[in-house]
Amino acid sequence: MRPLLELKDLHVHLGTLYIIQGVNFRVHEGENLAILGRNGAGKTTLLKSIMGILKPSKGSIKFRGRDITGARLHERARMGIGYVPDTRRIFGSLTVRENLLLGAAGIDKKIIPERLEFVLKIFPDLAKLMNHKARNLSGGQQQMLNIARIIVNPHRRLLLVDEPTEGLSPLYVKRISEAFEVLTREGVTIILVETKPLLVKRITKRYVILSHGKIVKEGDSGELFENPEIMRRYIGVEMRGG
Amino acid sequence: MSLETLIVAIVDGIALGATLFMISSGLSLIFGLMGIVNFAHGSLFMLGAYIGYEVFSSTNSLALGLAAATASMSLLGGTIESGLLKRKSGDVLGQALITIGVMLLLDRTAWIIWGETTYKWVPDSLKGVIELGGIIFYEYRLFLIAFGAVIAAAVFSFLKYTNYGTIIRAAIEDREMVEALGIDVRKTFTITFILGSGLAGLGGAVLVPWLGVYPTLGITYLLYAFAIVVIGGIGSFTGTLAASLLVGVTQQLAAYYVPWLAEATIFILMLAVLLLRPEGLVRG
Amino acid sequence: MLTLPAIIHYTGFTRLTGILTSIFILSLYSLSFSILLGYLGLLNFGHALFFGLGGYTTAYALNYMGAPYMAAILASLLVGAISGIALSFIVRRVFHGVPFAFISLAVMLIVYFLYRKRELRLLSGGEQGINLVVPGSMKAVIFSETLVILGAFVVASSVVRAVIASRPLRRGSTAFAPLALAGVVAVLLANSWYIEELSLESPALRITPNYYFLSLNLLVLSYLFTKRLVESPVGRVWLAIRENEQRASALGFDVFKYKALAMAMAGSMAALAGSLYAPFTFNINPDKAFSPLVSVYAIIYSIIGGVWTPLGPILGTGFVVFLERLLADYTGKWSTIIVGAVFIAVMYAMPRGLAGLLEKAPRLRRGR
Ligand SMILES: Nc1ncnc2c1ncn2[C@@H]1O[C@H](COP(=O)(O)OP(=O)(O)O)[C@@H](O)[C@H]1O
Ligand SMILES: [Mg+2]
Repeated sequence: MRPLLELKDLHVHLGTLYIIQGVNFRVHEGENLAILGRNGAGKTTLLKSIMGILKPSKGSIKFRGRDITGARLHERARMGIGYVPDTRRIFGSLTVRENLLLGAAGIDKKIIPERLEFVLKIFPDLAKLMNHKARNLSGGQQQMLNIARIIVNPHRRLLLVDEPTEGLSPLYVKRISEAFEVLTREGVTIILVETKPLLVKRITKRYVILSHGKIVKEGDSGELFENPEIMRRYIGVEMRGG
Repeated sequence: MSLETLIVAIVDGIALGATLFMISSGLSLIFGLMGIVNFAHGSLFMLGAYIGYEVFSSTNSLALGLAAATASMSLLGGTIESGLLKRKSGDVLGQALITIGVMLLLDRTAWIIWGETTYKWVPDSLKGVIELGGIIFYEYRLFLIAFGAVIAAAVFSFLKYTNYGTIIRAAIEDREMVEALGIDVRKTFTITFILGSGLAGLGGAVLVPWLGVYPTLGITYLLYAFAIVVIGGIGSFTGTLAASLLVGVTQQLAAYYVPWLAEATIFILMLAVLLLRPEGLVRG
Repeated sequence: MLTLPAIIHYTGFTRLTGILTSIFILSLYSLSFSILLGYLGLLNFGHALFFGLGGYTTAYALNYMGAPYMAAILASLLVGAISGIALSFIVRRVFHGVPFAFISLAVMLIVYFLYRKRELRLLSGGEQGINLVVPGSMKAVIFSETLVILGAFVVASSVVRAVIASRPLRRGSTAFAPLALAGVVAVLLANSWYIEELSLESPALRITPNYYFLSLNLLVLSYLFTKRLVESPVGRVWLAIRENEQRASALGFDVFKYKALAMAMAGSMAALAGSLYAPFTFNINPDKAFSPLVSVYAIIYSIIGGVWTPLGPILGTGFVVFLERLLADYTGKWSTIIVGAVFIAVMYAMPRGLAGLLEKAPRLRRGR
């Protein structure tokens, strides 16, 4: 079967710093992947390179069989890659509705109401905030908007999600984790950067561990839960459940 | 220092502010969206004024002159963007420097064509004065205020209710994220330049019946517009509108009461904002 | 170069001496601008402030205080350095990019618009400006000035070393080779002997050859000083700051101190140019001193020449001034338009400016 995403020998520099030092992996449709690693391991850099925000210095990225290494950011988004950044980069001076409509740019106008309904079913909290300026939302609400803005577009096939539950209360963590399950059922594939093992286990099938820009271990997500030693050794995270 | 003088100064200041908004709003959008400090913007304002004057005086129609100035400067602005700046995309310093070259070219060309004379033309229908509560107001300056309000409302509607407007507002905040949603922000650059340049040309032309047009008009109003953009906050519609009125009124009040400080007050204001609140007075 | 004025003088083509003198003076000015842009990435929209302060300081010293010309020049150097440091403190919190450019522009414009006001004409001479009492015999001035400025640079060098002493730097070639230095000084001083023959003419005619030598001497000295400085450890720190300020700071360099140092140096060099330009043109007024156009010309000269080497702005100034003044005879009013077009063309075709043409072939391949 043709993989959805394939990275071959990817190297990325930030200025003079050598961050991603030869990463290879394949992600098949429906086979959600977790990327784990300590702070500064290069997880965010890797996601940004897949999205096209950063240019790799070497290697190639294939999406649905097409080489997209040289494609521009908005072109990759059009092909079906969505990016949920770690710092919530919502448009603060725009309303929630405007944020969502930007996310729906380029789709058939007729299906927009239906898509809005879809995301509001996943994140009902946003429904009553539609005409509020996004900067006035709470942190958790902003994170929901951050995700909703991407998935309102039905063409997204691959979601790159960077630490979505960082700093959120358990209620919001639950909402967001449910949202990912719905999306997975809808046929969206997710690459998730996370540190909460329970979430990783619920949402992803496989994991890779990144250390100093290289993949040092990979396996099935279930074993992370059964074998807490892995998390301690590679990531320095004590098992704390959810 | 009578109340009457004070009111007249404030009304004149608002009228000036209305014109200042027309030159500053485009500059602010271009700066906010593309990161370009556009030095040619004042030259477009001045060329708009000259073209407006030529059409005013040959057709005797205010509307035709304003339309001609707006259309020709839109065209020129679009040409500058797609012909010169696009090729340097990503290099904002290089782009700013190119606009300095364009400014030199345009200002000098205007000087060769029109020379040192100040040209002025007033429409017959707005030549008079109106007396309100014992105070005499010039009709044309009142017209400027009304006209400015209409233009501000139009710009606001464009930014608020059109797709391009929404994209421009979002991209001023975070261009990369707009592109990550699948939108090619570069496509809005030419539109923004056309719109901003048209507004500048319109602002120049509409000022002719009051202050006339002369060779240093472009650089003078460019500097005012720089101050306004900085004071209002780069890329902010509300900020630009508020700062235009603030600068217009401050300038007129200073001109009446402390003439030796008149223009300097604007730049003292600009300096104060840069030092105390570098992001400008208004956010988003 | 050295005997040129004498030859020109006797062949009657004195205008060329004047143009060359303008080039030397304006090169000093654009050189000072390029140090900030090329080595620190600081685009100074208000650079004319320093130039104008130099010009006005000289006017005050000569006209109001009857000071000798040499004292006027030294006062200008001092005023330039102080205003550079003062501006550094004003922008301290936002010492980079657009905020810096706009703050320096705002400061210059405040001074400009105040100086243009009738109410302040005692200070500024109004829009007409101040007509300078031009110094008479210049031979002694040029002779001693060259020595004094040289001394000032030596003092400046030790100040530089004192300022950065807080951090150990790899000792590079921080000293002139004394012999080469002696040679340069001897040649520069020899210049002043030409004045003897030329000064027989009327004072108005005498001014040009005098200023030719004086400004040539000062330009050569300033160029050598700048070149040595940018190739020294200080210049390397400047470049490191331009590339990545956080990193330079993380490496332990006091970024503000290095920037303020460059501002002091650029300020005094621009003021020196103003101090030469005012008496050379017999007059200083707000438009010649502080106007935005004067700042714009610093940008034009520097970019056309290339800001990555001290030679660039000198080439650029020479090229543009020749184009504007000499070709004005043939192209008339259009010369400025040609300059604008050349400027834009250079932006596309020669990102490293005229100085890029002098590079060795291997450097060129590296692209922009
Ligand atoms: N803008 C930047 N400039 C320089 N270095 C950076 C920048 N962003 C991140 N880094 C460095 O790159 C490395 C990888 O960062 P990142 O990809 O954010 O790691 P992670 O997301 O795994 O925590 C870190 O060492 C970080 O310090
Ligand atoms: Mg990260």
